[in-house]
Amino acid sequence: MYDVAIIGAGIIGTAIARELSKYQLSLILIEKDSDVANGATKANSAIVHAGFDPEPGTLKAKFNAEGNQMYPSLCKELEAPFGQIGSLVIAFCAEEMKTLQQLLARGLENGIPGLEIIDRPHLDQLEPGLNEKALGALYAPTAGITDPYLLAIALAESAAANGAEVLLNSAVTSIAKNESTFTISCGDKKIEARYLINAAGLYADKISAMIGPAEFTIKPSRGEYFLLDKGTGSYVRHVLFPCPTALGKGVLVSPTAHGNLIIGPNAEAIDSPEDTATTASGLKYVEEQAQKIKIKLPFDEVITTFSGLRAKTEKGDFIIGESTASQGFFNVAGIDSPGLVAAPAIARYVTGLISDKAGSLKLKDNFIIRARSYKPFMSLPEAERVRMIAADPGYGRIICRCENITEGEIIRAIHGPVGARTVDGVKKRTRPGGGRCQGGFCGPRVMQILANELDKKLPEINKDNPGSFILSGTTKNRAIDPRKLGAVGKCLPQTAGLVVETGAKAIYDLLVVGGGPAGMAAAIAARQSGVEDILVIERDYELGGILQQCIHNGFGLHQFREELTGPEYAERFIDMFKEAGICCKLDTMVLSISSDKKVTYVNMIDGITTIQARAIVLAMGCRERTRGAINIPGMRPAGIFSAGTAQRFVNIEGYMVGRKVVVFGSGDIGLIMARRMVLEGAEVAAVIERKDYSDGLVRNYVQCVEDYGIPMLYRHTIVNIKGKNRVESVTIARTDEHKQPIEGTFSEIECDTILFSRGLIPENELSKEAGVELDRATGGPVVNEAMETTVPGIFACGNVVHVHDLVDWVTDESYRAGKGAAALISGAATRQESNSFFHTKPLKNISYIVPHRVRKELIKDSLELYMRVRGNHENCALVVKADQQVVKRIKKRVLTPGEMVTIKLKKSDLPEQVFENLSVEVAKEAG
Amino acid sequence: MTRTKTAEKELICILCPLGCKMIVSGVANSPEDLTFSGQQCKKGREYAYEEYTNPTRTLTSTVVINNAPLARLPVKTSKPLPKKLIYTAMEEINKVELTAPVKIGTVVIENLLNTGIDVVSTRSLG
Repeated sequence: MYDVAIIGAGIIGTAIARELSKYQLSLILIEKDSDVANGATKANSAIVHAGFDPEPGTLKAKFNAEGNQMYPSLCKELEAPFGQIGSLVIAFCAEEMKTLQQLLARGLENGIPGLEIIDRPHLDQLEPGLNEKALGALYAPTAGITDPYLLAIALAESAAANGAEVLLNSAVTSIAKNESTFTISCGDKKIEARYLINAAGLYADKISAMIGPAEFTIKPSRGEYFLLDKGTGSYVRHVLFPCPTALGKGVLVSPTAHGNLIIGPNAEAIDSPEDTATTASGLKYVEEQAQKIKIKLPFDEVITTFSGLRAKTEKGDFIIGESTASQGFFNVAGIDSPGLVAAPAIARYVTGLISDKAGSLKLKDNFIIRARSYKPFMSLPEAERVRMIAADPGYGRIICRCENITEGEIIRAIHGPVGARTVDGVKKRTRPGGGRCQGGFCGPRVMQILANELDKKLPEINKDNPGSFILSGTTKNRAIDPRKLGAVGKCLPQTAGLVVETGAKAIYDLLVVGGGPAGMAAAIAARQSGVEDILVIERDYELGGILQQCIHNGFGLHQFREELTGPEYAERFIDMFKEAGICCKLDTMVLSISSDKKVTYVNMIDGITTIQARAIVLAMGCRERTRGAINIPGMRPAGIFSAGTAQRFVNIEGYMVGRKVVVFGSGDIGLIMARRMVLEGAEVAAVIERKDYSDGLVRNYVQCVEDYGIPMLYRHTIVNIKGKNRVESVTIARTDEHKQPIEGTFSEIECDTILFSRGLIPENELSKEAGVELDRATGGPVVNEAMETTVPGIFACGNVVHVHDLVDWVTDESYRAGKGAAALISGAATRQESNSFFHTKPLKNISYIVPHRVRKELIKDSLELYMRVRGNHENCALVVKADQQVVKRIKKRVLTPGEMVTIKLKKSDLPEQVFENLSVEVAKEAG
Repeated sequence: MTRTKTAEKELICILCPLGCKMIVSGVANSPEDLTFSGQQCKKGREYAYEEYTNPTRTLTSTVVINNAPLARLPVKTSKPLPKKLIYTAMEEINKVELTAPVKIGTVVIENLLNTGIDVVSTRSLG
């Protein structure tokens, strides 16, 4: 028998549970989902509203004003993020300026402090760069931003630490009123409680109807959002709103508590409380509205889109109080915006209601304010980080490379009082998968950690609710026991035969970031050129990079004159690397690189260490473009992978990612994975390509798609993804010449898995930090003929510079980078900013050229230009010009964007006299 | 009386990005009488002949490995395999169970399906 049962563990249920847990009461928090904070709390604007918006006299007005005042101290004591950045409601016409006056009056009546209407000049000081039509704004300094799910989790864990029971995966099926108690049934499970609080969000009307006639109806309203990459949060300083309308507060633009930019929502009434799909039209509307506030928003940095549901009622105000139908039953319902900010005030009020009913409540004398630490490891002072790594080396191991989340934090989240049990649970608590790769790299590692800590097998780990399985089994139909993999089940470094030092020297001649094919080749070339003092830092547990998962053949034809598989190519370089005795650190993450070549890294053994390098080679490779980044609408169930992540699961880990697959995009990895899935017993329902040709090599089309009779749908796109827990189908449509879907051509393909093969993006977050100039066309550093970037002494090679088609070219380019770095270290090369410097210039139908700048007198015998063309061309010529003078014309039977083009120029091809630009263009060739 | 079977097959050449669509026609059991159309070079004709008379593919996959840091080991056929044998070959490959350590190039299936082709490991593990 419990004193109080709370149904629903969103921000409201958890806040009430935590408030009640301060008193001597026995409590149970009942949640239908697999985790707390899984409904509206998971997907909203995350704004702590100031409180000028609700109509005076309403519960919304009261609890918004009170809640806003409680937030700073609440978030501080729970270590939840909170930033009181203030909000601006912006007026774009005289009519809207009047609205601001009304809002101000309302705000004053609601008792909101600090409100002020400001004119355009003042607005420009506070928030530069707004749309020029903005006339003025209502400034509310007390508005803020938070992390709603982390806050709800911290509240739930505090309640749990104070004795509240948290019952997950338990949907309430019926409620019986006894004389002075309630019996709550969750299927077969029965729970008895004296008082019952209905905080069931979107389902509150159904819970309420279990004890009497319907008192209210919840009408779900859906809002769609864009989330942009970390760092974009600095595009704006405040929470920016348009003027509110009858439909709501409108599309806002705001930084998030984690430095992202959030843009949304629209508001659409929907029928189902489970329909969290995004739509093309909704997102388009959000984008258009946001641009009215600020024109230059970086929509090219979108990392995901999502939608959240609000539990609206026809009444419009919160419904809080004892049910008229049943004594002891309290509704806390209809909590749409500003529910998040109101939550702590509502919790305090509801506690008062219980106290009134039950007689005065007695405070506990040993209340635990916070169950555990919630601060991100990387946000802690350095001394504390060092101490934590010494006590638990797991804090020295980065699992999420985008957000720099450590294994220690993930394990801490799993073993909290309301611990993470799912991949999404880990993401909500510590954010791996919340970054730009959307779990592409860390997903498999997070699953491994969950399996290890919970003593489960990998296929038992769900994304979210039961049914949201990520893996459908193992390859070869042979079970895998992660415990038997021992050290490597935990991915410990594979150091056999390698020179691995503990600790580091203060200075290295050459530091190479990345131990894939590019980094290894650069290090080997530098060693051959006489550089003794080299350190290679690799984030994975072995060398070889992405080649280790590319088990297909087709590598090495140019370097070795034979056809190798990816792992074979990697092993040849690993052997050379070992032979050369080059020092490396595995399982080590570089955290930052400065323009004066100071490099900070972290690992389990050395902790956080900063070293100085004379030269650096950047060889971090690339990542895959995700579903979120290309904005495909629909649901977000399990079963959506980038092709490379699936490749890792299938080829390295030995797990199947699904049984009926649709591949979206016809890049080489997508085509190769289509074949792999078929060979491992899955069905590939279709490969879908928006254009009328494949991005992949002809050979891969023939040998991966045609050989296996896989339907190849050119000029099609995915317009919707269906499935609540696991993918159930995709809706496809024909595309027009702009690759946009054509209305009326929609059809559905049943599948349980979607593999995205929609391109690769060089990983240049560290390069940016070092001040390296990037080329927008490649996404990689601007480099010279020796692969040196715009920062002296920092070189770059491989896919971090531009995405290559063949690893053989990566090797060539990396040898050049290694030699260039060696020349710099030995003092042979000094930077020459003379007029002998010329630039390469991509002209007609050439999308980019690497290198970007060339020091003419440093060309030894020949100069190689790497480029990609735009569009398909037959019977054409590549024309190279030094300023206006044609220096070379190369006939080509065919040019396609999928293949990198190399032009080799002899030194004698170039004119003697000084010229500014060396351009390349595609020209028609007669006949 | 000997029976002659006429055949016609469409092939895409993989030798260069042109991807010529070629049509092979003629008498199936009489390779010297085959006719080719659609190719734009001599190599294309040679490819079409091979691809029509005896299409082969290098098969790459993984096998089960025990006592190793990873649960699967990548493998390939030592030479291109007749295309029609790929699925049967996969069945054989799926039966293999190894124990670490295994060196790169180790034969894991000898004389696969009596073709004279081996299946070999493509990395060292353990």
